[in-house]
Parts: sequence; C-alpha cells; structure tokens
Amino acid sequence: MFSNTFPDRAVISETVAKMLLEINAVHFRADQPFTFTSGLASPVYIDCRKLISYPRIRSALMDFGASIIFRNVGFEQFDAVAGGETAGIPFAAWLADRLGLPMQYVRKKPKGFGRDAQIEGALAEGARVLLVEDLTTDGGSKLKFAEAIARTGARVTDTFAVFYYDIFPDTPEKLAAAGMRLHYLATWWDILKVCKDENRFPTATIAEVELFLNGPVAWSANHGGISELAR
Amino acid sequence: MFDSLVKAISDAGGGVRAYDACARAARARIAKEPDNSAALLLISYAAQRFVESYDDQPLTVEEAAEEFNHITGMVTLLGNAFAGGSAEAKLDAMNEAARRLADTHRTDGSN
Repeated sequence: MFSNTFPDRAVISETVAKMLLEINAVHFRADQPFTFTSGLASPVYIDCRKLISYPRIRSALMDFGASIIFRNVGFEQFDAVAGGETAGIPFAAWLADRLGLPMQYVRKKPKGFGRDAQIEGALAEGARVLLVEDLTTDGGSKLKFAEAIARTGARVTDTFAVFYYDIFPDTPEKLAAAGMRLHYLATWWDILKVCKDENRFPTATIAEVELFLNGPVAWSANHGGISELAR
Repeated sequence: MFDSLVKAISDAGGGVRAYDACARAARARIAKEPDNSAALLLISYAAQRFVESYDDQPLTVEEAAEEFNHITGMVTLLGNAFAGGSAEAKLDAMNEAARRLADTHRTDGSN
C-alpha cells in the first residue's frame, strides 16, 4: 500500500528524470533520428519499460504516482485502475496495489476470435477508471483505450503516465475533451534540466534536443519526418 | 493498381500509424475486389508485420526507409502481375511476395 508521503512536485520530477538517466532509458541521437508512430522524426527516445527491471526505482515511482493521484484527484475517486497494452500493464498493477483498487488491462484491439475480449478483468458498469500507460506523447493511444473502456459502460476520468512528452501543446486539451485529466511524474523539460545541470551530454547534442523540444514539427520536417501532425 | 496503399504510407510519414492504416485499407478493399484478394491480404500482412515490429519499439529514420523500400517493392511486384498479367504471373508474384514476407519474419524474429 501507499507510504502516505507527499513529496514536493518539483522534487518528484527531478528525481524521476535522474532515475531515467541513471538506468540509460534516455536516448539522444540527432544524426540518426527516430521515427515516432505518428511519423514525426525525433532526436529523442525514452524507454520507460526499462523501469520494470529496477525494483527500488519502480517502487519509488509508484509511491510518487499514488501521491500525485491522491493529491490532485482525491482518495476515493476511482473504482479501478486499467493498464494499456503493453507497457501500461505492469505500472497499472503496481499502482492499483498502491491505491488499493481492482485492476484490468485493455488490449489495443479485440482479440478477434473466441470471446473477442478487449478488456481483461472484471469491470463494473459505471466504474470510474484511472487509465495507466508508461508514457504520453500526443494522447492518441489513451483516447482509443478510453473508448474501449467506455463501451463496457465504465468511464476513464483520469489518466496517469510515468512520463509525458509535453511538446504537443494540445495534448491536455485533447484528453480533456474526451473527459480525461492527465497526470504524470516527469517530462522532457525535466530531463533537459538535469542534463544541463549535470553536463550529461555534449553541448551540441543538448542544443539539438532543445531545438526539437521547442519545435518538434519543424525539426521533424528538416530531418526526413512529417511536416504536419495529423488531426 | 495497389500504389495508393504505399503512397498513403509515405504521405502519412511512414510511422506505425501509417502502416496500421495501410493494413486496414488493404483488408477493406478485399471485399470490393475479390479478384485481388490474395494480393491485398499479402499487402495487409506486410503492413501489419511492420506495426507489430515497431509499435512501442524504437524505429530509426534509416530503418523506416528500408521498411518502406521493402513494402514498396512487394506492392510493385504484385501490382505489375495483377494489372493484366496471366494467372501464372499472378501466382508467381504471390509466391515471391510470400517468400519475401516469410524472409522478413525470420530476420526480425516475428512469429
């Protein structure tokens, strides 16, 4: 269960950024960019799934997550915690344990045969659900998971991610329009600050990363990716 | 004949979402184009393989370009055979496309 401590928000974000850097979950590659699912070319990539292999870090993360959820939303505002396939599932399990709530997981697509299930686990009609994923980029996957949950008669009121890109200005609004509030522990800006404070990468690399974070679509267009985000 | 499917991938940035849309579009055409069903199913499988390989996984711009060349080659092969080719040419093209697809599965470890 939750340890009942409520660290300062800034301390949480800085600590999580340091954790992600410590386990080499952060990758910067301006010369050979990555292609995101949207087609956006990017010099940054983060692998939050690595966190599951570090018990002390993941335990602290879940305490941080519980503290943010309790503080921002309340102690009795959810009936269930649902994990989005695939990376959201372990984090949902640990967070459900911290919050003392039932857990489900949501597939990206129904299985397509048998009972054609998209949601596994018991979920009551009208249940208030906290949707969990490892990260949030533009919120697209969360909208699809929330739609699947809504088809059962339950509703996603909030979504939690360990990491939020915070480079697409309309993401919180898109989620809010679907009835979801977004909660997270750290963003690229927290990573960037720690990298600068601790001189973690060459200055030129950090400059390129900052250029991308301040104008992701323009950076993408100049590096072989899309020049416009799909609406 | 099937060029619009790969053009849509390119226009949408060549990421996972673009291939997912391609796989769905190819499957949707099967009902309307029964004579092209086998070719469209192979194209759908090829696009879906990309989705399963790179969804939640890092994909570099170079890898994305290689993958796009791969599916473009396969679609061109099938398109040329199905646009007025003989039954034998269509069968040959499908066998070659299936072989390439199976080869890619072996290379990337997909099941």
